[in-house]
Amino acid sequence: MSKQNVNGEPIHSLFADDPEMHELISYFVQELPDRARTVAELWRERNLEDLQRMAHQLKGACGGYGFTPVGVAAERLEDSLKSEADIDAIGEQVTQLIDLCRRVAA
Amino acid sequence: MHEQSTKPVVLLIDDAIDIHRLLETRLRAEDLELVSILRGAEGLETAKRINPALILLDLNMPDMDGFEVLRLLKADPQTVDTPVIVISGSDQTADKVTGLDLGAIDYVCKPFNFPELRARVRAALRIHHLMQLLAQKAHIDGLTGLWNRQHFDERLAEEVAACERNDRSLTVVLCDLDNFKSLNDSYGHAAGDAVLQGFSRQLGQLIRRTDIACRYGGEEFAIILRDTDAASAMSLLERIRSELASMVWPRHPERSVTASFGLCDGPPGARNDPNAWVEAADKALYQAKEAGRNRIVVAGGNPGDAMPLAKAG
Repeated sequence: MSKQNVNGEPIHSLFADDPEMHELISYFVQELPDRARTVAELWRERNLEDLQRMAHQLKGACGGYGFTPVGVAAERLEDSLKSEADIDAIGEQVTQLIDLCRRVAA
Repeated sequence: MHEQSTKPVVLLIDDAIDIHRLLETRLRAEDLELVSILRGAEGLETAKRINPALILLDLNMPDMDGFEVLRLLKADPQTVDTPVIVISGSDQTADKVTGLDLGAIDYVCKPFNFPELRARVRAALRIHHLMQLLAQKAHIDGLTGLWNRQHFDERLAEEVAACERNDRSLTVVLCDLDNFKSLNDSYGHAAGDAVLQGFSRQLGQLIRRTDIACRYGGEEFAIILRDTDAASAMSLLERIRSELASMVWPRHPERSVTASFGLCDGPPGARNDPNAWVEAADKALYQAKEAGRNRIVVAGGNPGDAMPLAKAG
């Protein structure tokens, strides 16, 4: 997993310089680790239904708050869950999503 | 006319709290009040209760999805005209077509482009404002500026139901200008129109804010007096009657104009039937005419007890 360290630079919001969004983004970033933990838990329990809901919400939220790469990863996961893709592929996407969440910075 | 000129209320229905926070921040500078709801069913119920100027509706929600909410909004006469903008993570043409064909006026994809979303919200609020003006126009009588017959019928049904439900008093008045045909014949229709307008203006000035004055048709008028029984209605109507009788008309100063009034503050037996109220008031009006015009008769009362007759014109 050394590749992730190479790509491990922080992900900033597209709206980081927008004063209107400042407070909102810092609140979102603060909450994000909890959500990433929930994603990991749901995956461990193989609770795919709630995982899909969570992926959908992260897609909307990360997109809306300007963390586009995270939103794209969440969307990919949601699509795979919707189309009942191969379980290993889903696992890989869960890992990617959680890693991206960890790199999010205010 | 009874609309308040406060900020328009925009209802947001989206299951993601992040979107609530985002829109609350991003729409703060707009001239609107945002109400945010997390669930489709609760959003529907809220829409009926607060009658918003615009609804922003998410599609992908648990329990009841956005399409279902939209279908129900458009099936309910109370919310059918409320503009809806679908806000969705899906950019699929099929979803856009379904949303617009179900009655949404616009479809905006997430993630939002905020300057665009704000402009679309403003455009939708402009359309809503124009629709309201149009709806109000359809309820106003062109000649007199009073409410029209359709408005009277709708409001009467509402007020009769409300007075039944809350045990409040209500008085319905029918009023007819006396010998109006002969006035038209003698002085022409322009003079007749001037009388209708002059009486309407006087009526508008004398009634209270909560009263609803309508042109019922021809030279007939109807007034709904909320929270008012016949006894309290009498003093108001007597003022209207006597002021009309003493008005001097520029086109025919030699001829005064009077009106007869029939009123009802509760038809016997059928309080919840709006028609029964109108019939009772109409019967009282007929009695006022029979007894010599220029007077007020209460339904169920003795026409002999009518208000003392002023010098009739």
